[in-house]
Amino acid sequence: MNKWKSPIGVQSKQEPIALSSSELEVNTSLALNVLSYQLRHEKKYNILDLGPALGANVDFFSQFSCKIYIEDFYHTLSSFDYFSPEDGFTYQTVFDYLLPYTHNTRFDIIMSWDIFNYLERDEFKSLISHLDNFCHKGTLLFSLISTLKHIPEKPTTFRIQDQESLQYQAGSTVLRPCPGYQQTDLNHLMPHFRVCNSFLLRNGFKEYLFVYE
Amino acid sequence: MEQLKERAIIGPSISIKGTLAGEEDLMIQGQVEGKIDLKNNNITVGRNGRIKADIYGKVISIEGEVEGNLFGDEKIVLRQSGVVRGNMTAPRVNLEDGAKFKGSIDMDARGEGRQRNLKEASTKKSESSREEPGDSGKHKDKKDGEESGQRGLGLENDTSSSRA
Repeated sequence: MNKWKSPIGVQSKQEPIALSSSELEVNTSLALNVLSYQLRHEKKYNILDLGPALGANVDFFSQFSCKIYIEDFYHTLSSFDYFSPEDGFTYQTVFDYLLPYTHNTRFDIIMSWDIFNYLERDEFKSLISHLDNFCHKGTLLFSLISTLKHIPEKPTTFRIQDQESLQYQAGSTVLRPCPGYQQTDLNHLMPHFRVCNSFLLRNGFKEYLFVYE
Repeated sequence: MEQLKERAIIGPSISIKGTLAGEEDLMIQGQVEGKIDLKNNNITVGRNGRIKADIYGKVISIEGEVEGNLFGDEKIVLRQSGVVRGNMTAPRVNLEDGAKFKGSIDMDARGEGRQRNLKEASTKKSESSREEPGDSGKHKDKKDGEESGQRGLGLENDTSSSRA
């Protein structure tokens, strides 16, 4: 049986470009600050975290009334090798299986971190199309899109330190090509989302806060 | 010095299918399949513990592997070695770095989060001198039966490159 493309997204060329280190780095996050401000209302928030389970992030969201869905999407998808489009399974089928929610589930906030940088265009579009089913008007999506030519082979780990600081830890010291999604690409791939905030960071990431319309 | 509380132990060679219930703290190093119902007591799933069950307890601590839903009356702690696939519901949930978890975490079992949220909101409001990025109550088209609402999540003033 063919496997899912290795592992997902842009093929890693295993170029032996070593990063100087994978040490921790803290950066100001303006989009997170804006997002945090939205969590001020007396209601219960549904939060979808596509990143791995991290105590710091759970602790941060626990100060609000919320239910957090943690998916560790990159690792789940990259280790999911039973079906592939070559076997007749569409991306949509796979995403339905990997991210199964009841039809009445609606997320208020989606934290995609830097995962989109690791998806090819059709994967990206299909994932967004799947998530569309669980968004409502006003759903916020937090994302970090790399503007660099190369990115670590695996997604960076982001830990929320406070409402305006994110700790970065590169997922690998080996680099791979970055798809370098531009604003026009994002408009095409995420047709129901509108950019409400974007901030270019010094480390090459562009922070986006999208709102579902 | 903290007094050690007595607790029952299910050893690593023990395998149980069915419902576990009782009135004392429990340490599980073996395998349990079914349901663990010790709502008034603390439950620890040790490193060797392998559970396929829903767990009800006061403080639930996981060092081994669990496939099932966890309901903690006070707290759930997922230790570094812990692996959980299921949903966790408790007023407080602690995840240690390295722990593996897939599922949902519901931390508003007693409405404490909401109180904290309100308190923080009022503090922030008084401290904040910057322009508010959003507006509440703009979008009121939530469908009936949706699991979550959207009140207050409508951002209006784009600070950059909005879609035309």
